[in-house]
Amino acid sequence: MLVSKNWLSEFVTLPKSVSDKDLGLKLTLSTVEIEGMKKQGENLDQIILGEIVKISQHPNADKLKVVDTKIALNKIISIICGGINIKEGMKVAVALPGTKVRWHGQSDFVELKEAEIRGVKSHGMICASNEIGLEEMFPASERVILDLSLFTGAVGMPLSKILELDDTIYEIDNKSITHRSDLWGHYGLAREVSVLYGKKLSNFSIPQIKKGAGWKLDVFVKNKKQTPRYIAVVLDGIKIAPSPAWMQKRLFSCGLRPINNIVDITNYVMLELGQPMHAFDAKKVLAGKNASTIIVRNAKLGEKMLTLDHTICTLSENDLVIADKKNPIALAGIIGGEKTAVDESTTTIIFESANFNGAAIRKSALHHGIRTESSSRFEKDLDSVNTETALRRAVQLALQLCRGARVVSRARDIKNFSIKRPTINITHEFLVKKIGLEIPLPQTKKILSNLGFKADFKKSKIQISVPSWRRKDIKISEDVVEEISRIYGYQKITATLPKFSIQVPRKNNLRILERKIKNFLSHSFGYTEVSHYSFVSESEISKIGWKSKDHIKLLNPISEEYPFLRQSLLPGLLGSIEKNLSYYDKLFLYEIGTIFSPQQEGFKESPGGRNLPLQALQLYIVCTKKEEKNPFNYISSTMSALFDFLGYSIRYEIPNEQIQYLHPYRQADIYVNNQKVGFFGEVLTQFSENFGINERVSAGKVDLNKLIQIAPRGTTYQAILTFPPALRDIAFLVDEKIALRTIVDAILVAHQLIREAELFDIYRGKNISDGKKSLAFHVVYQSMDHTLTSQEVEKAHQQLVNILQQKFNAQVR
Amino acid sequence: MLFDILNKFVTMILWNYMKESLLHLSEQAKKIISEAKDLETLREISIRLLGRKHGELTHLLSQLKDLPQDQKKSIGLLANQIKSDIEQLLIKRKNELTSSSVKSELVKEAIDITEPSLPKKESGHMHPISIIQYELEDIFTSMGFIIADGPELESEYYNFEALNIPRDHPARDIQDTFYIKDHPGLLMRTHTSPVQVRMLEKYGAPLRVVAPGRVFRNEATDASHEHTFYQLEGLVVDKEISIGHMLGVMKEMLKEVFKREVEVRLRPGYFPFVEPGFELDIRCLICHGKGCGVCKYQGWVESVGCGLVHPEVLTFGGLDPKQWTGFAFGWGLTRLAMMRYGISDVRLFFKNDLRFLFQF
Repeated sequence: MLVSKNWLSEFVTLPKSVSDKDLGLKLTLSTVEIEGMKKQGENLDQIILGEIVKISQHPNADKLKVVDTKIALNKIISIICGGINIKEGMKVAVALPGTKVRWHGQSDFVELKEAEIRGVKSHGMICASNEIGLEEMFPASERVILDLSLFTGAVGMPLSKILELDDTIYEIDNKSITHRSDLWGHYGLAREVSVLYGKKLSNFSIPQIKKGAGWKLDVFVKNKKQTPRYIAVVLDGIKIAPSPAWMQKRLFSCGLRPINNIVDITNYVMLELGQPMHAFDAKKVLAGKNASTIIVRNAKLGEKMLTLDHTICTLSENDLVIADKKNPIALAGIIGGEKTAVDESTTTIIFESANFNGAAIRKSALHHGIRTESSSRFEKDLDSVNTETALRRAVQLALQLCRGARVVSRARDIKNFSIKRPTINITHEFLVKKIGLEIPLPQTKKILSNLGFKADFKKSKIQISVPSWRRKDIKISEDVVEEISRIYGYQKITATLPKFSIQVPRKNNLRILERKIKNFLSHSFGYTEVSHYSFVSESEISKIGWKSKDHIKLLNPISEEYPFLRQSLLPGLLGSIEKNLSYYDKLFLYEIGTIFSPQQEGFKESPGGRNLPLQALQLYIVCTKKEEKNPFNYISSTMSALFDFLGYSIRYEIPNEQIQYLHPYRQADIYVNNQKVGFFGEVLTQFSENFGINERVSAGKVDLNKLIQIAPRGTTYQAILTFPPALRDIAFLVDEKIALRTIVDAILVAHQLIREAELFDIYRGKNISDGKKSLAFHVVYQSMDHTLTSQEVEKAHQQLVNILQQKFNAQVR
Repeated sequence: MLFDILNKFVTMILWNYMKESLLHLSEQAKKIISEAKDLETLREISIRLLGRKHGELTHLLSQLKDLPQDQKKSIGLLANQIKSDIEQLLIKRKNELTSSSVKSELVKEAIDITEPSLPKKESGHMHPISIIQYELEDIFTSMGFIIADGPELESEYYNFEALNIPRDHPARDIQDTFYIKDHPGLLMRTHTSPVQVRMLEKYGAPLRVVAPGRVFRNEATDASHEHTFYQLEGLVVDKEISIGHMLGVMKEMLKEVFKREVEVRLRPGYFPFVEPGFELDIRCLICHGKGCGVCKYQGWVESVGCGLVHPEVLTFGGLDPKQWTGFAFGWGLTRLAMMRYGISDVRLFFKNDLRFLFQF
């Protein structure tokens, strides 16, 4: 919402010492954040009024003209201009060298310099509205120069004077006054200003509408619950014309386009009092001669109405409409109908001022996708007392603006609301406890009464009655706490620390596990953490061979490209590999994130309600290195080290169920205590190629929610063996098909003196026949109770040799 | 009798002799040690004096056995003293000799200390959001807060209703929401606040909890807007919590985060789940309030949304608002990370450009 300082000043007189900035800051600190402040005409002091004297063709350019422009009584300068609407005698905005303009309305303001355009010197610039920041006031179109011929003023006068731009405009984000329907108009904001500066707020008292005759107006409200108040009155003798300059300027300043006197009055009242208004052409709402009937009712299913913005609305029972005896003539509180709109030939109007149920209006507006200045105000629940003030004001303005206008009906007023003020009881102690500061009672009293509350003080008990314009946002004692403390000044509250128990906070094991993994991978193992959106595209899903129909889908995705919720972190990671491979030869990446599984159940939707889809925490690791033929081992050693660090003993198993996107002979399941917690393997090149990766990639996944269920192994101290170990190396050939782990397991149980067996070499190739591999181990022999003799070691080692030969047909080298 | 006297006499002579010899040895030792010119000579001296088999001191001491007990003791003490003196002199001299003689040897072993050991050990990197998140988690844990989490795909119930934002309330427009297709009532959480009621249900009161996490808003993306970003939610529920308490805890937390005292100000802010609600601004740390690009020439940077927990929210969490009070706050982790590292484009956090991530 845009707020005019001049308009506010009509209701509250501020001392000269209050600067624009000061007012903005005060509102920000106590009422609502002022997001921007613009002094009108700031850039226009340097732009002057000029008059075109002579236009001649540019010698070297078809589309350009050389324009002799008078900029002072005796001064004519020559300007190159490409505008298509220029003519001799036209008054235009001239920027002289040194002033700031925005070329073709684009980018930032830059300083204008004298220039030579295709061989002819230009001593200034004839401006289009968007080149000097006036596009809101004068809509710009391509190559059209701002025509100021209608304005009075001498050539050479600054535009700020010509246009009388002397206001300061504040900008408020509508979202931050969602709860304050009273602040959607200038009078309401002026009330805040008056309280903040301790100045008197002028009364908004408008005389009652004098009862007229000549037109019979009937109003029937069918849906009383959703229509707390509806007032209408008929005026005749209207002559549609432009509204006066002062009104147009106000509307412009606040971002609305003037249309004609009647429509402008409705908008003016809305900006002034926050009450949206509507005007119907009474002759288009006829119910007999000189008679109109208005019915406020719910629409019938399938009823249609052409709205003011020329679209056909198909209505349903949930829509509240204003109707004549047959058809809807307006979508209540949202938009009027085209058929009954005021136009140039209108002479009789029905002014409508109403109040509707906020939720109903909001629902209807959302349903039809029509958000208007009107609906944004109605949905906040307006003040039913203000409804009448607004109508009186509109009639007053109409009589003032249109000569010959007169009221020709009774003001029909249907009330379905209680005038009684709600009351809230609080105590002084409550205020002190909540604020953490004692505000003296007289001050509390003053703040409340300035804001329009009535407060009865009985010792420390305070009974507060809420004014009509605040009954929607002041409902409980805490609301009163806010009113008093914000006006008193939040800066006066001192910070104190509460007293808490020293109880140790409960641990979140999942988070701890997640953090341990990140620390280990990033700080000890050279991995980099990446982070991808939770949304994935159809193409990402199919690139890995999955189907999008198994995924949860957004109803309103940010772009149609990314409508699905990820079920795996892998597609994102593969995408990042592709993106970075051009910069790096080696990529070790991981992500820990939430995945969404529609088939499984997770957290509760509500107490006792259904369950949300499962949202498990997943770790995914990917590795690739240029020209590496077997990146599998990177992941296998990463996983071993990671689980060791986390305190888990793991086993890799050949999967019972293969992962379809992994190499069938290069994948393994990870087991902790006989429970599968993840898997890893090499991504099939057909899939990695889909992502544009021409290197082999290995990938591994761990389900953190599963892992967290398993307790890590503890550590128990083992006595250090004091008798010296004996070391023997053994190298042998075995069949490729025999898994290393089977061999290691066999070595460890081959003899009771064997403590450790450490693989130190695997060799294939030269001198080794196909289908065989050569393995070499350091074997440690050690006794717990004596120093081993060489014979003992020999004997044990021989037994190992025998076993390897028998079990694996090993050829010891 | 005579034998006794004679015996005493001999003993005395022997005692005297030994004492003299020890003192003489000590003098000698001092002299030759200080005159030793190289380590080899010093080693020889050491053997000559203290050698276990033929050392002069060893030899002298072997005569101790002929002395009576009491005299043995006094000579023994003296001998030990002299031995330890000699040892110290030897070490001292050895250090003197070493430092000069070895120097020339060490010169030959000079290395280029700027060379690394190869192959280079690759270090990894944590995502900047994680770094900031863990930093905050540590601060809050030290203040007694539980670290909690909640689902990213939420229900309207927890995301809105339980937070005092009923259906058809205009406050639902404050946050543009992603809804889930074919699942009415489900959405991507627009803030971390739904964790408030979940935690009240889980732990009851008193309670101190923070919940960092991803949130989603259906907004067009540009350098300062992302549809996915990170927040940190905080909730304190206890008896008689005031605005002053909230301010105190916020200041304490900010002091820890920024490692210095920060000046803050409260101004009204509207969040339906708190009453009163505030925006907490901090004095710009870059320009100290003078006005700069970071604070958009305001001198203040909007940081934390906060307020006293709305009684309605406590009720939804199963608590009696007459008994319990509290405050809640929500902090933009993404924005904090941008401030901390001077990142001007929010989209970088999800770009996964390693040239960006390798900087952290």
